[in-house]
Amino acid sequence: MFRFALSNLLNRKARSTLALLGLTVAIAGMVGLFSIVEGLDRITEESFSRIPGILVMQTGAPIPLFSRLPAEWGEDLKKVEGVKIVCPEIWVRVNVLEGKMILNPPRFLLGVDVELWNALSHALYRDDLVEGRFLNNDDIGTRNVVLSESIQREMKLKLGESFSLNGEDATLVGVYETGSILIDVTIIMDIGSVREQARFDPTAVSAYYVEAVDDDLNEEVIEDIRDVFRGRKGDRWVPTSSVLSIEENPLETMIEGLDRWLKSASSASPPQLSEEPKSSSEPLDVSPAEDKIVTEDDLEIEERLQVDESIPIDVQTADTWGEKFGDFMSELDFIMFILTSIGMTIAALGVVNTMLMSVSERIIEIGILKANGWSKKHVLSLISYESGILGFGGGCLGCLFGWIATLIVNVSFPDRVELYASPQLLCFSLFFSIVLGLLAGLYPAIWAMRMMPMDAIRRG
Amino acid sequence: MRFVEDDGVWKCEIKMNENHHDNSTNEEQQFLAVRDLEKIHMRGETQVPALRGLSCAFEKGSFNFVLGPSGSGKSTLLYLLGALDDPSAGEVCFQGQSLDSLTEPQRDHYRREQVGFIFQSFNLLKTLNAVDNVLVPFLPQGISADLRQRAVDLLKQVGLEHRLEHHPHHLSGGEQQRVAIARALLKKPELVLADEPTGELDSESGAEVFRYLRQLHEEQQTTVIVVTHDERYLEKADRLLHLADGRLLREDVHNG
Repeated sequence: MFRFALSNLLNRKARSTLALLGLTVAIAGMVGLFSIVEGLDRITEESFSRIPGILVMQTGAPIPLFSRLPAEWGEDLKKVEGVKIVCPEIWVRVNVLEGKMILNPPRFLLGVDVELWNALSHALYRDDLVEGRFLNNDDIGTRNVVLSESIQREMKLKLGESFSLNGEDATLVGVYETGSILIDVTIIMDIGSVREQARFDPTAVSAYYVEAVDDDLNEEVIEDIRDVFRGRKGDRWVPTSSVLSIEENPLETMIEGLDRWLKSASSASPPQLSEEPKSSSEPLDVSPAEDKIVTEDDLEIEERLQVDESIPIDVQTADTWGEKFGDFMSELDFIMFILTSIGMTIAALGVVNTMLMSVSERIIEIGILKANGWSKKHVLSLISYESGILGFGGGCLGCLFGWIATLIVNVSFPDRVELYASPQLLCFSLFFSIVLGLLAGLYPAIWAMRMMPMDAIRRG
Repeated sequence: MRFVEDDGVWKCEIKMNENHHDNSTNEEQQFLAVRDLEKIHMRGETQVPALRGLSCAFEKGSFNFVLGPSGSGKSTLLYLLGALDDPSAGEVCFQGQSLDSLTEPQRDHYRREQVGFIFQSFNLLKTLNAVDNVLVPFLPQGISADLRQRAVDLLKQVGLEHRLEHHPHHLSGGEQQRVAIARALLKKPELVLADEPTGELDSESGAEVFRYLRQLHEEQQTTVIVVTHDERYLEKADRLLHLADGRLLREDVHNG
C-alpha cells in the first residue's frame, strides 16, 4: 500500500510538488517564528546564568537603564548581614558613536566602581576578557573603556585607539566577549567618568549589584535587604502614560515621550522621596515618569505592576529576573502561536484543496479499485498514506529550510538576533506536519471512500 | 426461477430451459439469477429508466453475450451483476444468495474474490506497471511471491512476457486489454464480467482478446458474461441475451 501511495505521488509530480510546497512554506514559517522565541529564551537563560549575584533596582523599572536609586542606599545595603560587596552602577544609553547615531542594536554605557568591581568573586565583563585588560584603579577618573568584541568589530577599533562616545573621546583598553547579544551591548567605564559625561545626578545611581558572602545565601540576603527597606518611602518607576492616551496624537506623544526619556536617561536623578534623603539636601525628581497627574491609564498600569508597595526597591537574583523575562517570552509564544496558526490554516486549506483536486482527478481510479474489491477502509488508507507522505515530506523540507534560514539570519545579523531551532522544535514541527497532512487528507479520503464504484466510474 | 426466503436470506431456485441443460445440478442452476430488475438513473430531476423489470439466469461455466443497441441497459445489467451499483428494484442472486443481503465487506469480498471485471476503456492504473496492475485487487493485503509469480504467469499466458514492467501508456490498446484480462483472472473468479472489451480495439486486437478470454474460460471453467453490440466474436453454443429498452427481448443459443 505504501509503495502504491508513493508511486501515485511520484507519478503526479506537479500536484505533489504543489502540496509539498504549501506544507514546506508553512512548516518553515513555523520553525522560523518559534526559533525567534527559542532564541530569546536561550539568550535570556545564558545571559542571566552568567550573573550570580543580586540586582537591586527601583521598584517597577524593567531594566537598570530606567532605574534610579539614591546613592546613599548603598551604605544601607552594605550593612545587611551576608552582604560581601555592593557595587553601584550607572547605566546610560549610548546615542552617538564616532559621530553615528546608534539606534539598533542599542548600546549602553555602564559606569562601575572599578575597585569594587575588581573585588567581586565573579564579575561579568572582567571574567570574559578576550583582549587587553579590564579597568583598574589607574582608570578611575579617566575615559578608558572596555567594550565587546562585536562593538569593536563594528567600529573597527584597535586597543589603545581613541574614539568618540556620546560626543566625547574615549580610549579602548580591553575587549570582552560573552556571546550573548543581550550583554555584549555594553561599554564599561569608571562610574565617576560616566556620571560626569552624562551629567548624571550625583546623589543617584541606576542600580546596585550585590555579592553575598556565599551565592547559596542569596535568598536569605534578598529577604534581609527587603526587611531593611520595608516601609521606606520612594517612588516606583512608572512608564509614561501619555503614549497610551488615545485622545492625543499617538505619533506626537510618542516623540514627546521619547524626548523625555532620552533626557532622563542622560541627566537622571533618584526618585523623589517623601522622606528627605539622608545625604542630599534637596530631592530631585527627574525620573522618567515626569507626569505626576494620575490618570486612569496610570491606575491600570499600577494594577498591572502589582508589587509590595511597602518596599521601594526590587531585589532579585538574575535567575528570578530571567524568569520574569521568561513570562514575557510566554506571551510572545502566544503571539507566535496565533501567527503560526494562521499560516497553518492557510497551509491546511492548501493541502485539502490539493488532495480534493487529486481525488476528483482520480475518481475513475477509485472506482476501479472498488470494482476490484477494495473496501472503504482500503481507499481511506491509500489516500491517508498519500497525505501522510506529503505531510512527512513537507515537514522534513520545512524543518530543513527553516533551520537553514535561522543559520543564515544568525550569520547575517550576529549582533542583532539569535534564532535557535532546537531539536525539540524541529521534531514537533515534523510531527505537526504529518498530523496536518493526515487531517487535511481526511475529508477527500472520506469523500472518495463513500462513492459507489459505478458512481465513480460514471463520473470519471 | 423462483425466490424463497431461507433464514432471512433470499435464495433463488431456478428451473432452466430443460432442452438446454438437462443434467444441471441444483447448484449450477442457482449460480446467477436476476428477478424483476429495475434501475433508474437520475439526470438532475429527470428519471431515466435503464432496466425495466428484467429477469434472467446464467449457468455456471457458460459463455454469455448480452446484446442490444446503445441504451438498452446492457452495461447497467453488468454493473448490477457485479455489485458495482444498487438496483432500484428487483434482485440479483449469486449462488443462491441475494446481493442485497450482503454487508459492505461481503460485497467487497464478492467483487475481490468472485468477480473479475473487464472494462471497455481497460481502466488500468497509470501509475503501476503491468504486473502491479494485475495485482491491484490484492494490493491492500500485501503481495506474496507466489501471487506475484501467478500474475507474471498470467501475463505470459496472454502474450505479454516482454511487457511485464511497462506502464499502461507504453502498451497498445490490445495489450492493455490483455493486462485487464489477466487482472480479472488472477483471482480465479467464478464470474467474469466484460463490458464492451473490444470497443476500443481494432478487429485483430479484438479477436486476440477474445481468443485469450475463451482460452482462460476453457481452462478455469469461469462463467463469462460479455456485453457487446459487436457480433463478430460470437461462437457456436454461446448463450445470447437480447436486450431492448431495459427489457429482455429474447434469449437463445448461437448456432455458429
